[in-house]
Amino acid sequence: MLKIQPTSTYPPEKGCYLRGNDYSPVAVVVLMNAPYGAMPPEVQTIPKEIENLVKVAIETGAALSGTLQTENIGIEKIVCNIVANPNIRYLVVCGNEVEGHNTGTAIKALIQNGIDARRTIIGSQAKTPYLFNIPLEAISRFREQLTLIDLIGQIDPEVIMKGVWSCYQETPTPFKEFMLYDPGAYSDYAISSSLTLKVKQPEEVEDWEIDEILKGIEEPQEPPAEKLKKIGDEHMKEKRATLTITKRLLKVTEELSQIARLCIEEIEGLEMAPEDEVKKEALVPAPEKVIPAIKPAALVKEEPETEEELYFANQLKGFNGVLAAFQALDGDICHDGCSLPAAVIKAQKRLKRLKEDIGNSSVSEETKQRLEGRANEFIERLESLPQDKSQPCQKTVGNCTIGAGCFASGALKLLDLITQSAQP
Amino acid sequence: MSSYFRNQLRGCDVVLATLQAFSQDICRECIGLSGARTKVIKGLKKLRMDLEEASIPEDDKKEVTVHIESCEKIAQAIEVMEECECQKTANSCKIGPGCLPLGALDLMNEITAPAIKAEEKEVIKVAKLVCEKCGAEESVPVVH
Repeated sequence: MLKIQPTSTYPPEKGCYLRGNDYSPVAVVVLMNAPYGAMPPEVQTIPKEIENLVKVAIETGAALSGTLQTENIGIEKIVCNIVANPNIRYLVVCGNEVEGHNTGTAIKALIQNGIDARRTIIGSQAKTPYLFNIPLEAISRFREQLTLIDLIGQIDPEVIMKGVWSCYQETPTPFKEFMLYDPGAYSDYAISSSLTLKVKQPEEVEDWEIDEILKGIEEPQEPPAEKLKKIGDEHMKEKRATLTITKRLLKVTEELSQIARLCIEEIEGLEMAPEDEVKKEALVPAPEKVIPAIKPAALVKEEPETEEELYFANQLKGFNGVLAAFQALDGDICHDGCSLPAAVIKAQKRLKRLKEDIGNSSVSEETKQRLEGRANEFIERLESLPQDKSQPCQKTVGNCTIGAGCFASGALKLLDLITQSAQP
Repeated sequence: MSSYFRNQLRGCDVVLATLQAFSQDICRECIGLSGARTKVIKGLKKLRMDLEEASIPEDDKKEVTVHIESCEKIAQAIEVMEECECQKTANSCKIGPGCLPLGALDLMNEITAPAIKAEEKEVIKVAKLVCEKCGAEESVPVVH
């Protein structure tokens, strides 16, 4: 029976999987129906029953066994890892379907139907089953190389063990509706490919964007001679890679020194005498306009110590956004309307009350001063905005044509998003 | 300038200003802000595509294009960390289940008119100026 050594980079893609016997004909995918990806690394845990299935598969003799959650990047990683090892001839897909992603049906549809011209898995029920980051050659090989053992919905380790075991038997062995045995390696060379990551967030891709994305990822048609040359050159890759990294490092160093020079110039420019600044300003053309500038501030993470302090900090966080919206509206037709002044007055009242609450609170004096300082800054900014409610409504005079909604009152509602902590 | 495009861009101005303000806070490291920014950029791209197909005067098109470009520049300049994660799961954002950047994006939902696209609106405008009784076309509404 023919077995082939996988590529030197096998498995090319990192992920949530275990590596077993490279010469085994079976890989196992356990669908992960759990909020793993949304959790911060320090609390990421795979549910015990899923982890157990992954381990059982490897212990029984699978080449690779891991979890799968997304119907795009997740599947792309699996494709890359499997085509890099022609010994893998079966793919067992088990575990409960991933809610929202429908990843199980997506991988099943990929093997059965492939992808269309828009790199979308044909017949998949998943929302974004796009494979933009891997070569078409890898997808087509993946489909030819593998037989799917569909155990979607199955979480019994005994069944998975039996399935994996059946795959590497020398004589045909019945398992469910299949007759399984190890047919040996696929009759072509291993494909070494990895994700291009030209589309890092395929879940954000909208249907109308696909054609444009495709233009950016079109693969050049390589003549066979070129392909052979590429294979022949593979052993030279390591030296070249070192050279490339060194060149890149050199470039980064040069760019960093340029940035440092610019920083020095900027700081020196700020320290210039006022008359020099005036002369310099005269030479600079006026900016194009649009949105009022917001004071640039360094990102300072404040950790409120008490619930009371958290309440004040959250409210001020919200006001920061509301004020920015008001200032933008002030540069628009809302400046001459009545809704912006009404919203400004409401915001002023709330902010003044907040300031009083801060004053009466039990937070430390230092914190009090800091919070009151911010509130005062916001009150000042509000004072510079229109407050004359007697102006005509811009809808009535026919200037505002957005419909029944109102940007000014909508902006004020941003504060309603803050539901924690409770008002002291 | 067609009211459809004008309204959308008015909304964009407000949303971008708000997002810019939030980018000075912990939202800079948040996937919420990153997603909202991406949505605005995509919305502008779509608006540009719609504009190309719209049957509005060339001068108006130019004016809208300049406004779109200016919004795009502002959107691109919003500071978001390359590697970001939801600040609620990172335990930094404690405002409750709401999300300020996504809330800012929802300001676009205040725009409900025109419900149909610009070019369709233009057709209706013309149709309204054709007298139902005698079929005469008038540049302004006239009672026959």
